[in-house]
Amino acid sequence: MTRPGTAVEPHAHRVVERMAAGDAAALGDLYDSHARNIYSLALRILGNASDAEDVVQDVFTQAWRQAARYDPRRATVIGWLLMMARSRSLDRLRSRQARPDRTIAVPLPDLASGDPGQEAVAVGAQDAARLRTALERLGDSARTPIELAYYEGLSQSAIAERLGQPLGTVKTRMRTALAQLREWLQQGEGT
Amino acid sequence: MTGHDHDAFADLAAPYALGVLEGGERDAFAAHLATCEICRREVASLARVVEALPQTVDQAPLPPGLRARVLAAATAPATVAEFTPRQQPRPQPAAPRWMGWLAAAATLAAVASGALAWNSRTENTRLRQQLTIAQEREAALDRQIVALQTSAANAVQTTAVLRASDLGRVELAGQTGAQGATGRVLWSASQGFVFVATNLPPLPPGRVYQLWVVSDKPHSAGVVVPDAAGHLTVINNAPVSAHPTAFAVTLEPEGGSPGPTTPILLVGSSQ
Repeated sequence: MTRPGTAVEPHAHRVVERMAAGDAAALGDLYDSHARNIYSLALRILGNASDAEDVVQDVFTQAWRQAARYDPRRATVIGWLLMMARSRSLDRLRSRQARPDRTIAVPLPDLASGDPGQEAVAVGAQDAARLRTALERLGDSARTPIELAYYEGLSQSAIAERLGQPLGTVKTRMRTALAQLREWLQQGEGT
Repeated sequence: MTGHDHDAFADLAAPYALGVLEGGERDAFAAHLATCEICRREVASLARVVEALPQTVDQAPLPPGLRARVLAAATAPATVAEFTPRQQPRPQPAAPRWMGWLAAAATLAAVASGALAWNSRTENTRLRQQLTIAQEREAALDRQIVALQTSAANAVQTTAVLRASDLGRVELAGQTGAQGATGRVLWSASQGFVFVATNLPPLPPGRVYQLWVVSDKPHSAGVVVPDAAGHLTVINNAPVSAHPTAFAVTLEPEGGSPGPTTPILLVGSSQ
């Protein structure tokens, strides 16, 4: 079931199993593998190094305490961590802006593939590089709604308000842009 | 797939995958997912794009020292003040594969619409209560500090009077209307005076006691309200006339009077 060009992380969840067993060294391993990704995402969302450091601490604290609940069928380890990082960052962003009506922070949906029993497939470095190229190719008007949704947690109506565009336009753009990104990613896999 | 149902949800997969679908729409779509294979596959494939998004962010160097700080904090025992984890422990029993999405959809809907909101509400309430307690404690400490500063200042002022080389002492006796009252003034021309009185009658509404230093005529030394037991202490470091003939107390309207307007209640001669 592994798609070509994607890295599988068959052993990554073992680190989390060691954490669940109380092995503090495993937390250090997890940090060394993923802290930079988490910090960079928090920094992108919050734009403030001190806040981003707090998010990193929150995420690893949460990961340590909830290691036993991690389910490799539902998300990759990095997906699990980045989901927490995004959620915590948006929480902070929201409390800083004090505009709870305009922002929402819900967990991302199940990140596993369409086959529910399959172990989640990691997003590899190649995927990330391809997606970065694809995002540039997409252009500002198509990319912005996706960025506002992901990095600011804005609902579609809030995005429409922010951009001064009709809600229907925002919905269409978000749907077609995400589908376009997916298509480019899949094309890239074949090459 | 049932065509009309599916059409109604076709637009929602993208915002759902991005995690920004709100309220009723989100719940409805999560329920639809449990029954629609096409939408499940759509969300799963879009979710893969969404999962890659955070990895396209420019990678920033990690601050030095963060690793040690994070590892120490993360493995420290939880304290009462910290909020509880948002997701309830959810055992994952072995279940037929087709139940996976049902469970996932139900979990997601419950977490998104209920548990998360509930936990963040309780968390808010608890933090607010703790803040209130802390603020009350701070206010109480402020009051204690002011009280201590006042008594320390009083002690310093009293000591200055008592140390004066020209210290004089006057005993005051209660007059008609305040027969049980007694008073004493320790005074110095340069350092001021300390006046104490006991058993003063309760004040009528709108009235205060006013203290007078009499030399050529009565000079006001301030108005004062005794405590519930009729005791009072006045410390005043303003210089006193070099040759007071008497100290006296009268009952005056609130705010005091330029000169005594009622009979003297307490008086003592310094001659």
